[in-house]
This record gives sequence, structure tokens and C-alpha cells, in this order.
Amino acid sequence: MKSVTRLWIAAVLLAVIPSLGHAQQTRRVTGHVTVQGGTEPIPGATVQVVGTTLGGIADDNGNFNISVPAGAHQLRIRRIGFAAKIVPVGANDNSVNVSLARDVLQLETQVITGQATTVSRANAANAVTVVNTEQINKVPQQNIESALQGKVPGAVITSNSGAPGGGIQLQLRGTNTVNGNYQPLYVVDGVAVDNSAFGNGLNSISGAGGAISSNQDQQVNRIADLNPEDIESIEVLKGPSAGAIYGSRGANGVVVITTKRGRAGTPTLDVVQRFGTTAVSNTLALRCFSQAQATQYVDSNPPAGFKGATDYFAANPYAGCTDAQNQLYGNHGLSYETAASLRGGTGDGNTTYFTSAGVKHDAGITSTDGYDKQNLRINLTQQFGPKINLRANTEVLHTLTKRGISGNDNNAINPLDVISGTPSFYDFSRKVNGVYTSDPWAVSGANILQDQQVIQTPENVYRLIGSAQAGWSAIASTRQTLDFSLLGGVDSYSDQALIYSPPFTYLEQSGVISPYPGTVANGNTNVVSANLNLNGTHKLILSPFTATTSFGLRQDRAQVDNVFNQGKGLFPGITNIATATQTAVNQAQNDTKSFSYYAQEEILTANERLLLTGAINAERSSTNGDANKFYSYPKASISYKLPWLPPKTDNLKLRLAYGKAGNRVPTNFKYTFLTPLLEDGVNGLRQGAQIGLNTIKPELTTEVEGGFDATMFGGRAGLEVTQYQKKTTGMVLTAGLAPSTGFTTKVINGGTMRNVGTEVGLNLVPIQTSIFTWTSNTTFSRNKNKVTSLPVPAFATGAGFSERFGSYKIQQGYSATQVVVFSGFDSTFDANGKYVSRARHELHIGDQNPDFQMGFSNDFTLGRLTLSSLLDWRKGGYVINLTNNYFDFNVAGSNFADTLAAQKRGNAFLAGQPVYAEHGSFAKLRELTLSYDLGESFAHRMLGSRAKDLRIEASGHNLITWTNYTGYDPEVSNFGNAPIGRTQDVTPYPPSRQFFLSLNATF
Amino acid sequence: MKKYIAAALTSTLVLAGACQDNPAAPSRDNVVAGSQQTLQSLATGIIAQDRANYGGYLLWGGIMARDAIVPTANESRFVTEFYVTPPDPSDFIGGSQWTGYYQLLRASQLLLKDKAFTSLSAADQGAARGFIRTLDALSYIRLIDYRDQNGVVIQGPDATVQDPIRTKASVLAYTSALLDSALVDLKAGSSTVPFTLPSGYSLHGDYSQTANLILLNRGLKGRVEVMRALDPVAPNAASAAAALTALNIALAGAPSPMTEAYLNAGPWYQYNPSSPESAANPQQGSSSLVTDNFVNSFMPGDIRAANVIPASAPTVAGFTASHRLKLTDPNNAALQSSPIPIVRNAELILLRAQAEIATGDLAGATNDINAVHTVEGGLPAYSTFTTASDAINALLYELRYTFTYFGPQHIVALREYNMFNLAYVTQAGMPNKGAADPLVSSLPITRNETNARNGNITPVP
Repeated sequence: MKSVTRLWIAAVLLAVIPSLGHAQQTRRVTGHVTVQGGTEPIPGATVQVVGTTLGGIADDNGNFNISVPAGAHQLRIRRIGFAAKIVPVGANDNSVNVSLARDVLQLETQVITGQATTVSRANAANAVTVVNTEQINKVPQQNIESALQGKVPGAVITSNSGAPGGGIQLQLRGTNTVNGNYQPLYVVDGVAVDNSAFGNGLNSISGAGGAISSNQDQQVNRIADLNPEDIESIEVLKGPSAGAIYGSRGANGVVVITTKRGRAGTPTLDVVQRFGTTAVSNTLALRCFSQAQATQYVDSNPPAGFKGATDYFAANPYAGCTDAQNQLYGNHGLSYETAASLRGGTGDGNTTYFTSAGVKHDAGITSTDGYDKQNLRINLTQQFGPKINLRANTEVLHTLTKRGISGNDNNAINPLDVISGTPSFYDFSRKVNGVYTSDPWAVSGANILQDQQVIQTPENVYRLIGSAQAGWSAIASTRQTLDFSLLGGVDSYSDQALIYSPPFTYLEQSGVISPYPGTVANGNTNVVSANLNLNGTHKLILSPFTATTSFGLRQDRAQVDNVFNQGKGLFPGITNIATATQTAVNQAQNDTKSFSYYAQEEILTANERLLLTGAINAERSSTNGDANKFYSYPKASISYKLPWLPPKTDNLKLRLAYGKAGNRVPTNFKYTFLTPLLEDGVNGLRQGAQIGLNTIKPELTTEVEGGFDATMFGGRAGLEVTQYQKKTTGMVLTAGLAPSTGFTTKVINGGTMRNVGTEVGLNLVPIQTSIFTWTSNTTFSRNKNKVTSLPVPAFATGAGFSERFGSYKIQQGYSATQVVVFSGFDSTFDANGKYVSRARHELHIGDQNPDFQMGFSNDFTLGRLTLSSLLDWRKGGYVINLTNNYFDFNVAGSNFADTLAAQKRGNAFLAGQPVYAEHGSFAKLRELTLSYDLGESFAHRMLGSRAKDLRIEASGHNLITWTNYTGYDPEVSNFGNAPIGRTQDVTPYPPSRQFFLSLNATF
Repeated sequence: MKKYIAAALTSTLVLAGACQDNPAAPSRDNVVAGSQQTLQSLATGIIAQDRANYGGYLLWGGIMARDAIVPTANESRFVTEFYVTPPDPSDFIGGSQWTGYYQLLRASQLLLKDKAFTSLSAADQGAARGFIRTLDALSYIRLIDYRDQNGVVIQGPDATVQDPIRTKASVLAYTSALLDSALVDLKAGSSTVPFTLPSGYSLHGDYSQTANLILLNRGLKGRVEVMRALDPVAPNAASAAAALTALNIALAGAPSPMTEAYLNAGPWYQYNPSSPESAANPQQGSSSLVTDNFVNSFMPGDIRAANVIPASAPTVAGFTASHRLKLTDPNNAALQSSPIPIVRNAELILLRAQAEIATGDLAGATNDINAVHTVEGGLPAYSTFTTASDAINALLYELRYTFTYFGPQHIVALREYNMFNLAYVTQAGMPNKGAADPLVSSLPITRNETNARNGNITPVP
């Protein structure tokens, strides 16, 4: 590997040294850049002398002043949001005026090709999706993942529940792994940010899993902390062919987030004030009872402590048809958000800054749940002379999430669990002497409204994401540049969760949680991840080609320390664990280190029609069996813009890309652990259930991606078609062992998995007049997964409860995310009734992932009025609806309004039919915004002469869902994010829709 | 890969240090030299695993025998998997009572290969090996209790080898021989085991003493031989006598008249909820109730009826109940500290009654049944039974009211005597699934075991 590095360094030096000192004579050329068809200046436009490295950036007024070599040349003028243009500048010209047309289809966006390089999207060899700040923030977003829903072909972005604060899974181009990381790498301004999810200790009262906290704690993956308002653009590198340069973290794609930066010139102040509310968007239809029916029901099924209807109704008056869902989830609290940002810089552009601050509150659909965020960002750039620049980005934020109780439980504590067993003639809101009554139908006696009022579930996250970057322009001649940058980044947060269930509730007093009433669980998780990058980029511009060589080193470290303390048996009002009757502690830690280096070469030639790229990344990681061994990840790509075009076609580019990327070995898979077992104060040890692999290697995913991009009708239509195939080899599998060996799984590198998919993006401007514009973006993607080889017998994996309901199995010839259902045995007996054999029935129902998905985004602009909408349609995918199972079996005849259907379903289930595996197809109106620009003159009148713009918006999120799914929402995951087994629906937090009214002012 | 696993498993298993990149978890790959502390940790690991296996073992049998029911609002499978459909081998009932026992058996094998063990004196090795192998035999007994004719695996020395599923008859024969081997070790061993046993082992007799462990060993031998003698598929003619021999040794100190203290003698599991423990008392706080028929079928005057208290429960799949045993009372925190017997003399005495019935000694059987009937039930003694049928019915009554929520003794006996037609089994409101398989009388081979064998789970002799 060392020899490869030396070779690259030598190549760079050879390219650089001969040209040193060959400076040409130059002159000054000034110019002015405006919007085509008007006089509005375009600040920040990049002006480059074609075939050289010379150029500059237009100031606030669209003016530029650059050096141009003697003789006739061409200038390329570019600005995000506008179509690039090349204009001639004659040998004697000293002034050029340019107008740029708006690039509504984003054809000219720069896209990332490496850790320090970009290329115009017009030349890009990969289908990189770029989502800009306007698209991200059309509707107030809870987090950046929801902002991407329906906008990125190939991305399946699914909420885990309707709970406030997030919990969303983003998966690009299918599932590459069974046990490894399955989510893309998130990089914010060069810092690899952590997207882990940690429990909040809910398990201490729900009893859903083991220990104090479990993966059924309805976790939030922490990318939700990032503030969408600060983001300039998000680039989505969907697979190894684009992300190979990120090494063992590139297999699942890379989401590169760039935050806003300062701009030279007059400061710009943006202020956004939003008010809104939220409403539950779906409830289940519950059974109603007339008084006579209720009497008959209670007489037939008296709850504990009652003989029949007479004494029951004396204590619990008939309450008609009370929908407890509305009592609990009927809150319409006030949501609000105030965000302000200041952006500017010195006139010479040597110092620029972007700073923002925000306060946000999302109300929950219960009166006690919600999400709060406060954030502060400062991005600074300072140029020290022509060669040195420094950049520092810092974001500090705090979030407070209160999500209440939802998901699986074993203590009759989840409100929907209780509701499923309580007839609607019982009124939870009834109070006797000011105190809620105990629900006699619940084994825990829990009154869900009492619990909602007094059980606390706050989770505070304090986070710092910061980076400092120093750049050195070592060489900047007419024909070549050599730049170095050193970037240090850190992402550090503390996640402090509390579960407090006071001792006086019926729930705690019932003893179902513990014989010691009162529970407190404190979770404290500290995460620090840091990276150090050294990059070098050499650009050589010659008449036949432009060569960009980049190289660099990268070091990463991530530490996680997760501690939970639990106390049971509390004094009223006291949450000090030290005073609890019974205490317990859990802790988990890990520490991961990796080091990598890379080199990349890009050749742009044939009149900038042909782009050739080759790169290699080598990386070692402490999680590998051999922590010192480097694994290599190459990539290569080609794109070509055809010179001969079909009619009505402006541009047609063919592209082909190949790349290999790894998936880092999960922490600790190389070890065989001992399991501690405590008895009588003595710590015992036995072998763990899993046999580790001390030679374990990263999974390797190879991707070939090809397609074409076409623009037509004078920039009014753009079509992007991509076909890809990914093959993952050496999968990190926890292969099932016969448990009779004493181990249940063993870690292996083996087997292969394939993902094949198609992505289509169609962008249209069907109407574009001076008063009305209609812009339409349609995305389509489909992905098919298959386990093509498996060196071990098929084995069950993923989260789930039982194959009777529907679970997941890794099996050769089937999708890794297939859903299987066990439908029973056929036992055979001989003539004497003696047992002979059993045949097992297992049905391959389908796949957890959708067959395909489409997004339809439309913007209609009529003068100052803009209407934007986004429809997200997902077809197929199975969800295991265990919420129905609760209702079907929890009360005599079911508590659903359609009792016949429920009974039929329950009977079918008992007969072995897979009734709880349901199609999860849906279409959702994700976003709808009506925006009106009040105009500059109105803004002046209202806000003074510095005001430039004032806009009012009415918007909604997740307004309508069309689905045949019988549960609350097919977007659901009891186990949070997971590559396999995420579609288990167990009494989730119901979905909600949000409404906002916004006022946006720019000064 | 195979080479690695073999190397890993045959390497010395000693107290683990911490992993470099996971300081919180011990790993067998980062080890320190063996020691007495290592031996203690590994022995405690086995004992604690045995206790951890106990929850389902105590409860499932009562549900299968229709004595118990768990109608809980948030988990319908307690009812549906036992009363409505056969248990799904992938879930927490059909998949249970399997893995934990094999983890214990593997842990036992690893301990006996460990340097901390091999460096002991021969006498200490004998006591330790005798104790560990007796626990191993207990695991096989419990495996067969629930899998019955579906068979179980006799775990071999190599974890990379998938040993076959063996028939019940062959597993019982193996277990019998294992106990005999353990007896030889105990007899040759030191007077006490060379590590500290949990306090439950000295609650009703000191079972760190090899002399008492020999009694336990013979009691389990008697249990195995009774099972062999009464195996409906492959009865072993010599086993009834062998059972009597073993049980007579185990019960040699029985007093006359019988005392409660003697019936309770044996090793127990102790639970200490005020300190971190790997297992909580599995009886207390559970949603486990008893069926109406169970409540209504006490003989008049049976003092065990006082152990039943009213309880509330929802109706699940048409089933509900209105009483529970006191020992499950969720509001009684003190019960979390209640010890639970591993094997006590009351069980051994009833096993001897079974052996006596099988050998035609109805007087002996009457005497042994009466020992439990009069002391634990507070009921007048039976006159000497004149038919085996009467003796069996009386025996089943004692098993039902003494061991519900203490193990599957009742369902095991119902299987042995093919008594699934009893009124309290096929009681009103309970399903009757036909003559061939009227009840869920055994659990299936678990899904993971089946998958690993590509579906081939037919037991071999």
C-alpha cells in the first residue's frame, strides 16, 4: 500500500513541478451578472476563464472583476439555481455582461465526486440526487429525513411511528446487510456525524424486552437533531459506485450535507416565524354499546371484582360510546418555531459568516408529549491573503423529546393495549373526588389518562457538531492549482433520558410492573466521534483535458458510553435512585478507530464531454479481525455527453459507474463473549450465545450503475434513468446454529446478496410564462433483493415476535427482507394413535420492503402566489399488524367496531392463516404549501427600508393518507430502525398531521 | 472457520479480561490466567444458568395440564398457543425450554476442560465433576419433560458438530448412565464441592456436602428410571425396580411420621431482589392464574385450597379465570424473595409411589402418597389402595395440588398414564382436539434447531 501512495505523490509532483513559474501575462476584465429577462443581479456567481484556473466570484450586486490572460478567451459563468453559460471575451474586451436563465431542473448543480472534489451535474457519472434548501424547507420539517421523503429516487424513508421527535429510517437502494450498518453515512461539512439510536429506559415500565432499556424503547436515531433550516444542500450518493471513496462506510450510500455559508457583501437577515398545530390523523373504529348491550356484555363478562352489570355500573356509570383514543390523542397544542439567520461578509470576501439561531416547539397529540429544540450555529470563513483560508463551522443544540408510552409492552401500560381491552362504555376521564378511577378492565388497573399526566418521559440531548478547516493554496497559476486542506471535525453529544413512573398510580400499585411501586430509570449516553482529514487537490488545465488529482488521509474515532440506572420502590415525589428499594445498572461501551487514505484522478476531456474517474480508498479499522490490515475500495466511472442529439434534445449524457465499498464490521463481532450471570452476589460467567470470528472482514458491496440523463425542450424537461446492480459478498452473518450445540449463532463472513433496481427522475416545466409557472418532479424507484448464496442453512433473523404472526428469514433464493409465516404442523399418527411425524408449514408471504415507490412534486407559481405539493406513493411491502391482534383477542368479541371482521380474523389466525401480515401500500400527501410573496414595497412599509422580502405561507405535513392498511399507519416499526424486521406494528404512537402558518422576512 | 471454532472451544476458558474496544463486556478472546476465582465464576455461571432456565419450566406444565392459565391482555399467545393451536416453534413458548439447557451443558463441558478445574486435586475434581454432571442430568430431564417423544439432543464434546436428535428412550438411558457416572465421582470426591454454592443449596439441608449430593443424584436417578418405566412408547421393564433402588437410597432418612421439613428437604433456588440478580422469582407477579376447575376440585378439607386467592383477568380467545395461587400475588413484594425448590423430597416420594404402583406394591404406594396427602394436604390418610387405578388417581391429585407452578410433574404423569380423558383436563370451556392429540402435551423442536437441521428433526435411537 505504501508503494501506491508513493506512486500517487510522484505523479502529482511530476505534474506540478514543470509548470511552476510559467505565469502568463494577464489583464483585468469586469462584468455584471443578471437574471435573464430582467435586471436582478445574481450575487455569488462563479466566473471562470475556460481552460484556465483563473476566475472569481460576483459580489452582492452581481459585479465581478477577474484576471484574464491576454488574447481571446471564453468565460464560464455559473450559479446554483441558474443554467451555466459560456460567453466569449475578445482580445480587446475589458467588460462583459451576462444574463443567466433560471435552472429550474437543477441541471447545473455541482455534485460531489470525492472527499475534496466536485463536478457539474451535467458531467456527473453517478445519479447523485441534490436537494437544496428550498426543497428541504418547503414545509416546516421535524428533521432532515422527513424533508427527503418522496424527493430522492432510490431512498426508502419510513417513519417508525407518529411520536414527536423523529425516529425515521433512510435506506438507499435496498438492504445490503443483515447485521452490519444499514444506514447511509451522514457527513455534515466534512464531519461524519453519528446517527445512532439509544433507548430511553421505557422498558423499565413496559417490560417489552430485557434489561432496563431495549430496542423496543421507541428510539430516535440522532440525525434528527440536525436543523433543516441551516442546510444549504443535501447530496445523496446512493451506493458504492459514488461512495467508494468513503471506504467501509460507503456501501449504504452517503448523505453529504452542506450548511449555509457566509457571502461577501451586505449582511442578509432572514427571519422565520411559524405557528401551527397538530392532530391525530387516524384512529381505529371502536365498538359502541347501547346501554342494554353494555349491560348484557358486563353480565356475561364481568371484570374482576364485579359480579355483573348492577354493581359494575353503580361504580362505573355507563358512559355511552367514549372513544378513549380521542380523549388521549385529541390534543391540538400550539407548535411554534422562530428561526433567524444572519449571512454576510466583508466586501472583499475575505471574511464571511453565517450564523443562525432557532427555537422550536412541536406539540404532541397528547397534552404532555412534544418536542423542543434550541440551536445556534456559527459558520465563519476567513481568507488570509491569497493562499491561506480558514473555515470554522459550529452548531450547538439542545433537544427535549417527550414521547409518552407506546409500542410493545408486557405490563398493560401502553394506552392502546389498555384501550384494546376496555369497552367504550367506560370513561377514562371520569374522576371521583378529583381523582381518576382505576380501569377495572385492565389487569394493571391503569387509567391511561392518569398515566399520561404523571408518567414522565423526557429525553434531553445536548450536542455539539463542529469543524475547523485550514486551506492552503500552494500553487495557483493559470494552468494549474494545488490546494491542501486539513479538516478536524467532532460530533459530541450527551443523551440524558428519564423515565419516571410515580408510585401512586393504579399501574404501579397493581404490582404488574414490580411489587415495589414507583419506577425511575436514568439513561446517560455519551457519544464522541471525531475525524481528521488531510486532502490535497491538484488541478491541471490543458487544452485537451482538465485533470483533477486528489489524495488524502482520514482518521476516525468513535466512542460510546451508555449507562442506565434503574430504581423500583420509590417514595412519593422522590426520583433519587439511591432511595429506591431495588436498583439495577446496565452499561455498554465501545470504541472504534479507523484510518484510511485515498487517491483519485478525474479527467475531463473531449470538449468537456467526456469525464473519466478512477479512485481507490484503503482503510483499516479496529472492528476488523485484523485491525492493522488495509482493505481497498476502488471505483471507476465514465460519462459522455453525446455531440449528436435527437430532435428537441438539448443534452444527452450516458454514464456508467463502478465501485466497491465496504460495510464496517459491527463492534465486537470478532469476539466470543462471556455472559455474566449474578446469583447471591456472586458473579458467574458462562459462554455467550454467539461465537465470534477473529478473522472477520468488512462486507464488500460492488455496484455497477448505468444510465442516461437527457434535457429537452430548451431546458423544460429533464429525464434521468438509472439501472444498478449491487452485489454484497462476505456478508457478516450471525448464522444460526443448532441451539443444542450450546451456541445459538456464529459470526461468519459468507454468502452473497444482490440488489437490482431502477430509478427514474422526470423533471418538467410544462408551463412557463411571465405570470404562471408549473414545475413538476416525478421520481420512481424499485429494488429487488435476493440472497444468491448462503453457506449455512436458512436462519431466522431480524426483530419480531413469532413466525405465527410473521417474521424474517435469511434463505438462499429469497429476499433478505422476506416475511415468512408459520401456519402450523400436521401431525401424523399410525393406526394405533402413535405419533409418527410432523410436517411444518411455512408460508413465504412477501417482502417487508415496497415493490416500488413514486414521488410527485408539483409547484405552481402564479405571480406572487405559489402552491407546492408532494405526494409519496409506496406500493407493496408487508407489515405485521399486531395491534389488530391486541384488539381481536383482548376482549370478548373484540373491541373493534366491526366485531364480525375481527372475530373472523381471529378465527382465521387460530386456523393458521397469516392474517396479521398485511399489505402496507399507501399514498401520502406529505407536503402542501400555499405561499404568497407580499412584495418588496409591502415589506418596506411593514418592516422598514432594509426589508427585501416578506412572504406568508400556509403549509401542512402528512395531511392525507390513502391506504387499505387496517392499522394506524403502515409506516411503523416497533423495533425502531433495522435492516430486517422493521415492519412490526405493535400498538404504536398514532400518526399525526401538522399545520403551520409561517411568516418569512428577509432584510 | 471450523478450525477457529474448534480452537476457541477447546482452549482454556478462564476469567475474561475486557476487550480492547468494549471495556464493558468480558470476552473469551482476551483472557487472564485461571484461578480459584475462575472456577467459582464458571461454576456460578452454570448454577445461575440452571436457575435462569427455571421460569418457563415451572409454569408451562401447569398450563398444559389445564391447571393453570395466563389470560393476559397484552399477550394472547399464553392462551392461544396452549389452548387453541399447537405452540409455534418460533415463539417464546414453543421455542422455549431448549436453548438455556444446552448453554448450561456446554458451559459444564467447558468448565471440566478448564485449567481451573484440571488443576484441582483428584478428590476435588471428583466432587466438582459429580455435582456438575448431576446438574447436567437435571437439564436432560427437564428437556425431556417438555419435548417428550419429539426427542432431544445429547450434546457431544464438539460444538462444531451437530449431534442428532435422539429418542426419548435413548436420552433417558443416557441420562441414567450420566447419573451413575456422577455418583462414582461424588463417592470418590471430597466431602464438599470445591466452590461456594448459592444460599438456596443450604436452605433445606446442606447440598454442598457430597453426601447430600449423592441423595440428590439418586433422587434424579429415580426420576429418570420412573420415566423410562412408564414411557408409553418404549417402556423399559427393569427401570421400575431400578427406580425403587435409587429412590430408597435418596429417601433413606425419611422420618415416620412424615414431616413437612423432610418433604421440603433438597436444594432450592434463592432469590434476592434487593441486589442485582440475573433472575427474579418467576412465580411472583406473573399473570398466571389457575383454572376454575382447579379451584373447584379440591377435596374438602385440603389445606392447600387456602393457597388460592381471587384474581382478575381479561377474557382472551374465550378463556379467562378468577383465581390465582398466593405465591403469584403481584401485590406481595415479599414473595420476590421466596425460594423455589429444585428438587425436594415430596417429589421423590411421589416418584417412588409411581415405581411402587408399577411393581404392584400398592401398600408402599399408599404409604408414600399419604405422606404428601396428609402432611401437605392436611387430609386424612387413604386406606391401602386396592387397584392401581385408584392409586394413580390419588397420585395425580397430589401432583396437581402440590406441583402446579412448581414444574410439569402433573402433565408428565398424565402422559405416562395416558390420562388426558380426565374430567379436569377436558373440562367444559376447554378445547378438545380429538383422540390423536387431545392436548398440547409436549413442546415442538424449536424453529432454530429445525432450521439448522434443514427440517430433519426425526429422532433417532
